[in-house]
Amino acid sequence: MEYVLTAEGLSKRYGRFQALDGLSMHVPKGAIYGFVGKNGAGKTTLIRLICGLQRPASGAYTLYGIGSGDPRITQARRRMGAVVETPSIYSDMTAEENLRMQYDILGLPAYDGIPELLHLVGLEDAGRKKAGNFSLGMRQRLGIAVALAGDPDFLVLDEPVNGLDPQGIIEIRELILKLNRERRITVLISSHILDELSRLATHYGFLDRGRMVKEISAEALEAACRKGMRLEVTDMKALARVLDGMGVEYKVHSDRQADVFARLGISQLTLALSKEGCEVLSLQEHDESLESYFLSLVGGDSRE
Amino acid sequence: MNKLLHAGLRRLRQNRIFWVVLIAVFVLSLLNVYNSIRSWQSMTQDDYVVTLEDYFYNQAPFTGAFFAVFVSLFLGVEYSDGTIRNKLAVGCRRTDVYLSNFLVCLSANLLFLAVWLVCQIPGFFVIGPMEMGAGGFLSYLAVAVCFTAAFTAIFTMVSMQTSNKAFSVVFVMAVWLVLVLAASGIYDRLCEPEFQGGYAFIDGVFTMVEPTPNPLYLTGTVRTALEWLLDLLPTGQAILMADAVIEHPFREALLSLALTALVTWGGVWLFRKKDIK
Repeated sequence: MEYVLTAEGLSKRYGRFQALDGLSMHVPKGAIYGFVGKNGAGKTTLIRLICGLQRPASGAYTLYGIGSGDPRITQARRRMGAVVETPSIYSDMTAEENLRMQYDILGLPAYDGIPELLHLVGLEDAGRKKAGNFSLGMRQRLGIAVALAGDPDFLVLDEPVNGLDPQGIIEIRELILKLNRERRITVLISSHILDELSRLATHYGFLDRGRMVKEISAEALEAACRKGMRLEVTDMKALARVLDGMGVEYKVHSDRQADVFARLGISQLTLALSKEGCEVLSLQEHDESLESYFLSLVGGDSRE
Repeated sequence: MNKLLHAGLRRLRQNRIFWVVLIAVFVLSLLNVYNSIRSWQSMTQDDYVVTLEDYFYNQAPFTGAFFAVFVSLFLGVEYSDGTIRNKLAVGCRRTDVYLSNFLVCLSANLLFLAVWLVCQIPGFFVIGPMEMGAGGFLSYLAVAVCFTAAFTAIFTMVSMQTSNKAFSVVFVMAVWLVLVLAASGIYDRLCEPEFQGGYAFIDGVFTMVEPTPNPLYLTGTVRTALEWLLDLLPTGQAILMADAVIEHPFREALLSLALTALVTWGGVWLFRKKDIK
């Protein structure tokens, strides 16, 4: 598999805080790689390292196969665009002026592509309005437009939907999907809004305390997420006896409710429970969510 | 580097802070020349002999404040708006980012200097030509250009190390103030007369007192070292310029260029190691 970005044993420390602790990751070409972790897990730190804003204390990464210690890494970075934390835009300039600035920085010979970029991110009508007066969603979209100015084939987005309203979230999601599908741009996207990420990502990296806990494709994750059903019964002990007898895995939530991780014949189960004098009050099929998968990997304690 | 410089100059043209400082320098310079002419008229009426030099450069010590405000705000935006990340994330070298920022700020500061000097031109027509002649004027001009470069280098280094814009403004202004106080202190000590004496009022009459050595007068190595230090500090050069008492213009220009090179080298070195958020 061809990788746009790989990292091996990356470490970074801020004072006493170990932000990254031997992190390794692999972002395949053409993927939308969802980078999942709690606040303080090291997502933004990793992005800062690969964008050249900071240097790792140890370990290395490659961009398009070029190592972080190689002087050619600056050339490799010309193939990427990034929005790190907040959109990097001059608040006293219009959307077009911001893009012109980035075109100048990149040394692009003409500004012909600017109207198309503005159209792509839905800012073609922003006119003479200064970026400082933009809504958060507009700023985010302009930040992405600036990141796209050099026509990159790798886009790094750090929490792109943070603070956006539902409409803004949908717009950014559609934009990312469009860039990935139509322009074949590989996207690395960090987020802790798991539901949103699950609508986008083709690959996931689960990060905890500066370490990569697991890397998995969306397909593999779907297969790994256990399917099952939620049962509400009158007698939990009877249900446990029946499920134990069937050799089925289950999890009891209360004295009336349990999750069963198997696809059982409903008639068979109902009959078996009936023999034990237990009634089924309700039954609901469900898939384990990305959220519960994440929590099962990293644990549920909150660290801000 | 050229691309960054081009982008930086474009930003400068559109930058509100730049235009505000430029207009402020223009207005204050005109006020200064107006006050100078009024003062000259008053002095000549009282038969005092004053020349254009006595007024022409008296704004020099304040130029550093304009440079400090502009550089800290202009570069502070790079961090507050996060736009410095756009340069680094697309592969611009840190050395190029730093040097282009320095050169853009230097261009702006030289323009402020030019506005200040051009605004003094009415003084030529009213007060008269300078006694120092064209050669003297050009040597003073060279010193002014060089201390502008030194100021810019110092303020660029401080601003590029400070990620918070408000803190950057305060810090840069504090640096300017410290440099002003240091230069003023040194200049005052160097201006101490070698002997104390003159007339004293004794027993109801003015009596000539025998001159005695002034204990505050500096001699030897200390005096030489402080003279060099005053010549080295851009604020020192500005104070000497304001009083039109620059004795070693060539030395001062060279010291400024050396200071500019040293501070810029140090600034690049620090910036290359800086963690940017």
